[in-house]
This record gives sequence, structure tokens and C-alpha cells, in this order.
Amino acid sequence: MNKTISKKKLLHLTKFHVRSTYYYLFIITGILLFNLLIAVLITSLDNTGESGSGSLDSVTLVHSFILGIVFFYSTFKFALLNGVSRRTYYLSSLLYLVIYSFFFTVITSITIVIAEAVTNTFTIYSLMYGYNFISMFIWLFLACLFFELLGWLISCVFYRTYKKARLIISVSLLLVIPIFVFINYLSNGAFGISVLNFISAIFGFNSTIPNPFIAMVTLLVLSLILAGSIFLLVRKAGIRE
Amino acid sequence: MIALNNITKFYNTKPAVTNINLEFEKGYIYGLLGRNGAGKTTIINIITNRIFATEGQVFIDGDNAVENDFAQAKIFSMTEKSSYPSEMKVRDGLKWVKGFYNNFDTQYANKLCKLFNIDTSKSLKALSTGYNSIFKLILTLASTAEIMIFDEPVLGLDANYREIFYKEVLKRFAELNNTIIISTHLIEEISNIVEKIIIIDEGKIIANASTDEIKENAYVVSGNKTKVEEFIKTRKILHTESLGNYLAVTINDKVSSKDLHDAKTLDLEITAPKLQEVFIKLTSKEKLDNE
Repeated sequence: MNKTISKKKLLHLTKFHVRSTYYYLFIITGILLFNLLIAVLITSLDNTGESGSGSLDSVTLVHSFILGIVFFYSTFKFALLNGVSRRTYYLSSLLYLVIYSFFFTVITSITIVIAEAVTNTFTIYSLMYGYNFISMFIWLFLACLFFELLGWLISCVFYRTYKKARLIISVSLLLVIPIFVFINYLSNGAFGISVLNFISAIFGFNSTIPNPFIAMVTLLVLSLILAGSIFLLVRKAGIRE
Repeated sequence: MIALNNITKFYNTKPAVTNINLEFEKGYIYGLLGRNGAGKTTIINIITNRIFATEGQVFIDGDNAVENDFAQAKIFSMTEKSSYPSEMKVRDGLKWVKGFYNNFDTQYANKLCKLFNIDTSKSLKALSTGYNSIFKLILTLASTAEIMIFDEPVLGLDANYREIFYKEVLKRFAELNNTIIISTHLIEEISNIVEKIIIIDEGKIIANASTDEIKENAYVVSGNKTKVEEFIKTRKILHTESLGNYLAVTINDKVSSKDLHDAKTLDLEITAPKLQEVFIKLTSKEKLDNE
């Protein structure tokens, strides 16, 4: 089989991806530092010692999702216009998201460490699994990647579908919760409990001590499923002008 | 150099192009002509891997062009629509595109920027339609690609800039001896540049020949109005232009020795038709129906 992927194009496109959204790193850093500053101010003004900051990692996860949604439209067209194949584009985008997940994780972790030193703080991770820097770092990296891929998948679905299909998808998603409630009602709550048990199990809450490593494996598997689904959507996507 | 084999493209159930077999050879400037929605841009998008053909294959120098970075590196195609990131500055556009095309000529691109008087510090969204076209023209000409495709290249350009563009295309062609494909509605403007013409109508190739061969299918007879009217009595008229006692009529036929003889007898002049008139003849639904 002839070689069809150019390493040079792949790396150049990755560089383009990184450079075209680098302001996101500044935005996240700015928001995290602003939150930290407010927490420090409140702590210094409050003598009870009960106030502090919380959920700094949630800021990063929300922005990871937004990044996943926004990067695709312009970079995909740019890649096709410059003779880059979809496979190369896909690999380049994955590499870019891994790089950004790492940057996001480093920035957030440093902010959390500083926050813990100067004020009372908690994170989504510490609430669920307690505090361990290394496992928090890995969990956060995988969670960032998962949310970026989720955003990219949604963006791809909307790119590949037309107005009617988009409407059907949006309405279907809105119906998920009422359907869930209805099935739960019909099963006298058994359905809801089963779903919650399943979610608890895959995120490591079934044992007496929550296990973050099970959550990491779950995030990795979910990320792989998302990445596979995105590939199926990107490989046949055409340019839309 | 580029070979399209049995290319068919459907949008839902509507065919955009049907069973296209085409070859673009190295060392020629092609005019890809057709009415709105004829299928020109669809063919360009299929060649450049921007969309997939429903059926058929595209080869560039013998290599499958679909999802092939190396085959696509030989082509630079500017599109009518602006699909570059709107926030991108002109100078950044030149820099980033250079990374995808090994032989991108930055020096030449800068020279063109000065020639076209484009402000390289401006973002693309701040440029007018004409300057957006100029930006894409500069990228294409500076790419030094073996195949350069221009889709509606002079959109929004004034006469002076159009003239500069056509001159630069010819200069570039003389230097690189590459393949150039120009898709446009301004047929007369490119008639002196293109060597081969491909006319598409309703998704099918209806003419594929040299400019001269295409023009051979019609001729213009002109002169004294009464004499011209006498001449055209038994002939198929394609187009008529009159001014006072002067009449010029385009005849829808190859010029024969009888035509030459009759014209000489009546003291009329026979000349080659305008490419646009032949194009209209070939693509006009009404005229084909009448025939």
C-alpha cells in the first residue's frame, strides 16, 4: 500500500492548531488566577477560616469542552484547502488535543497546588477521591481529553448533518431526561438505581474507598470510543462553504 | 497529469456531475467553462479531495488522488468562497501555507503583495471581496504547484488588477510549464490565455478541445446589411449585431468553401467568432431545443 500520510503536513498542521488557539491557555490561566485571587481575598477578610475556593478543575473541564467544539470548523477547512487528507487532519487534531490536555492539566494543577498553600480549597477530584497529586494530575488530563473529544464529536455531528437532522438530534437530546424519568417511574425507581449503580461502578465508587484508577480507565475507554466515532464522521466529511 | 475516470457525484438524489472522463495534461492552460450550477466547482472539489465522488476515480501522475497528502501536494486550488480563518492576517496566511507547499515562493508572494497593493498586516475579514480574491491568487501563484486551479479568480477585481493577474498567470506558466485550470464566467477575458477549453453543461462534458477547434464550430460574417441578410438566408444564425448599415452575424456552422465563395462574391468578411458566443450556443437550452 502506498504511503499517503505526510509527516511534514501532520506536524505543520498540529503547529497551526496549537498556534491558532493558544489564547485559550491565557483565558484559562486568567480565570484560574482570578478565582484564586478572589479566594485569597475572601480568606484574608474572613476570620472564621471556613471560607475558601472550590472546583478550580471544573473551570478547565468546561473550557476543554468549549475548545473541542470551536477548533474544528475553521481548521478542518484550512486543512482541506491546503491539500491535507482527512486522516492526516484527524491524527493532527488528536495530537493537538493531547498537547492541550497536558497544558490545561499543568496550568490547573499548579493553580490548585498554590490554592492549597494559601487558602482552603477543594476540587471535583478531591471531593470524589480525596487528594493525591499524581492521580489527580492523570485524572484531570484524561478528563480534559474526554471533554475535548466530546466537544469535537458534537461539532462533527453538527457539521455532517443538515438543519432537519440537527433539529431531530437536539430534540432527542432534550427528550433523554423526560424518557429517563418516565422509565424510572414505570420501574418503580429500579431503572434509576441500576443506572446510578453502573455509573458509580465505572467511576470507582463501588468499593468503600473510591478508586480513581477505575475512573481513569473509564475515561480512557470513553475517550477511545469518542475518538473512534469522530474518525467515522471525519473520514467522509466534505468541505462545506 | 490529472485523470478523472467515470466520475459521478450525487447530492442526495440529484446528480451534480455524471460520468465525467477527463484528462488535464502538463504544459497547458485550461479553461473550465459552464453556466451556474453546471458542475465546475464540483469537479474541482473532487480533484482536490475536498469532496468525494459518488463513483469513479481521480489520479494525479498515476497516483490515486483521494486522501493522498503527496498527490494533493502537487495541486494548489483557490476557491471562489473564502474558507480561510477570518481572523488570519495576510502575512500569517502566507507563512502557514508555505509550510504545506515545499516550494512556496515567499519572495515572489511578497512581490505580488506589493504589485497588488495588499496590506499584509490586515486580517482576512478586514479585506474587501476583491482583496480576498487577490490574497488567494497570490497564494496560488506563489505555491509553484505543478497544478494551479483558479475558481472564479477575478471575483471583485477591477480591470487593472485583472490585467495584472492575467499577465502574472502567463509569466508563471512560462516559468514553471505547469498545468493551469481557470474556471470563470468571464469567458472573453480568458479566451486569449487558455489553450484548451472544457465546457460543462448540466454535469456533463459537452466540449473538450483546443480554443481554435471550439471556435471552428461557428464563424462571423459581417459587412453591408443587405448583403449579409442575403448571405444568411439559408444559414443557421447564432447571434446578430447591427450598427446602422453594418451587420455582423454569427453562423452556427463550420465555415465551408461555399461560405467563403459566397462571402467573397457579396464582398463580406468572414472572421472567427467570440468564444463567448460559441459557449452560449453550446450551453443555451433554448437554442438546443430549437435545433
